[in-house]
Amino acid sequence: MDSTVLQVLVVDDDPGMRSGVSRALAHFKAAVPEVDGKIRFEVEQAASGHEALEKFQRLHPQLVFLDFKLPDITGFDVLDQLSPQIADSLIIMMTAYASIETAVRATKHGAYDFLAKPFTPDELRTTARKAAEQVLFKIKAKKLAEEKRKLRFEFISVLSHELKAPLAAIEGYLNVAKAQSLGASIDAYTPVFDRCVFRIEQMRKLIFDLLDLTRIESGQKIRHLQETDLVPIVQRVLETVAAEANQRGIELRFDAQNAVPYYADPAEMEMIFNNLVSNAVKYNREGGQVEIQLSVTPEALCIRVSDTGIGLTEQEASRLFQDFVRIRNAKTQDILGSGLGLSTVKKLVQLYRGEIHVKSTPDVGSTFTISLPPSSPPPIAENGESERR
Amino acid sequence: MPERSIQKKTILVIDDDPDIRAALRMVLEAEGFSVGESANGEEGLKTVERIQPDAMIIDLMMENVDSGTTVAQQLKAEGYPGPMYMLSSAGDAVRYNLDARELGLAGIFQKPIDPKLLITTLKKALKMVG
Repeated sequence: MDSTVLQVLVVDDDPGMRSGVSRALAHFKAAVPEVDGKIRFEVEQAASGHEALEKFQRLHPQLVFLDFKLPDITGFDVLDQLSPQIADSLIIMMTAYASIETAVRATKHGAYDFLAKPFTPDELRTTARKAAEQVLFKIKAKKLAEEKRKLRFEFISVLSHELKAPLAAIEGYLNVAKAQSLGASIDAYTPVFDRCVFRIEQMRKLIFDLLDLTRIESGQKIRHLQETDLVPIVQRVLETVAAEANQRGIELRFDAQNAVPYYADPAEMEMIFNNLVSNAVKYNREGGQVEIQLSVTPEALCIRVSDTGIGLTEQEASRLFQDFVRIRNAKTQDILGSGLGLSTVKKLVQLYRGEIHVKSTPDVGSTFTISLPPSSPPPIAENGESERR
Repeated sequence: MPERSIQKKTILVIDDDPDIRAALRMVLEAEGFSVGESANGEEGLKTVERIQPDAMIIDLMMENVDSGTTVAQQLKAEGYPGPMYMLSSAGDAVRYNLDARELGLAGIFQKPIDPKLLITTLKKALKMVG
């Protein structure tokens, strides 16, 4: 396996000290948890403060072993000049005049660690390994933060596109009305106004779904985890879609059984059922069916919502749980959706360490299956910390 | 007033938003154009062959980011003779470094399109006035 190389700069006016450090680190290979292979060190030397500053600019070493007493400027001066630019570097001070005061002062000036002279090669290596671990941890954390920023930017780009699209459509239609492209009678514009209202409703839904989603993702939402019976939740969700289902002759089936208790936040459970059941109605055909099943085994709680709707191709199903993915085709263009409902469901399911899957056949229907781990131990939050109550 | 003496000019609109296509159709048909619609680039390229439009209006941001430019590039490579216009949300043309000349575009329209500007531009390009 490749080894990771860390650049080291040793700053000391004593050539013996410089070559000693170089020798001690030259063939040293350290194992740290942050990298797969081992790390080794490449050592450069500087005999004065100015040389140290010059070499730091040029070589960007990750570790600097810095002597306090230098012939030109002091180690503190070097520290002060370096500390604004040491994003991925650590500075270890070396001194023969070790005292608590200098150590505190060095730390205040941005030093990471402190090595008292004289030290053995092993002490140097131990310090180097510890610092290397910290450097690599910093690099990794920075990379993660960058990835997060990138994802966030992508999310916002797509979001702004999704928010601009209905505005452009509505403006386009208003321009049609203004130019009287369909003639002078207002009746001719009914379909135009209907579509405008539809796009506004869709935009509103997007904003509400977005709020739900960001609340879950931010971890700011206070979760009220408690013993929750899922049956009345399903019944309540069914009531909210009953009118639309009725109108389109869609049969809603739910075998109300004995209580199905689960340790959960009732509002989150309602959000899950609401998204799945309203999708099952929205994307159904006239006279179709929606069936909700809850089953409890010692291994899992299983939630199944099936419909007899337009269904999905395998390719469409594979993207379904991503943010803003709406399957766009002639069959879905009049159906209200934000593209965030199912990604929200997935995120909620993940909060409970569960899984969600979809099985679907175009024009036959889809079945969404969620399996959640048994109620106890209590579910944990996304960041792995114990639950906020 | 639409020119009656000449044959109807056909415009192909490629945009993934059905309402944008519908609104453009209404504006264009009111001015005597015949309108074809495609919801994505792939479908659009096939429709070009079939209906041989006199001009094209292509949305910049469809399913894939900047897929509109891919369509324009391909049409240019195939030697499409008519004027092509790109449709872009405010700022997107700049953000994605749209080079109208390199893509062989006759122009870029920003959403929302001003119907009057669209009509006069198209009529001029297709030599329907003056």
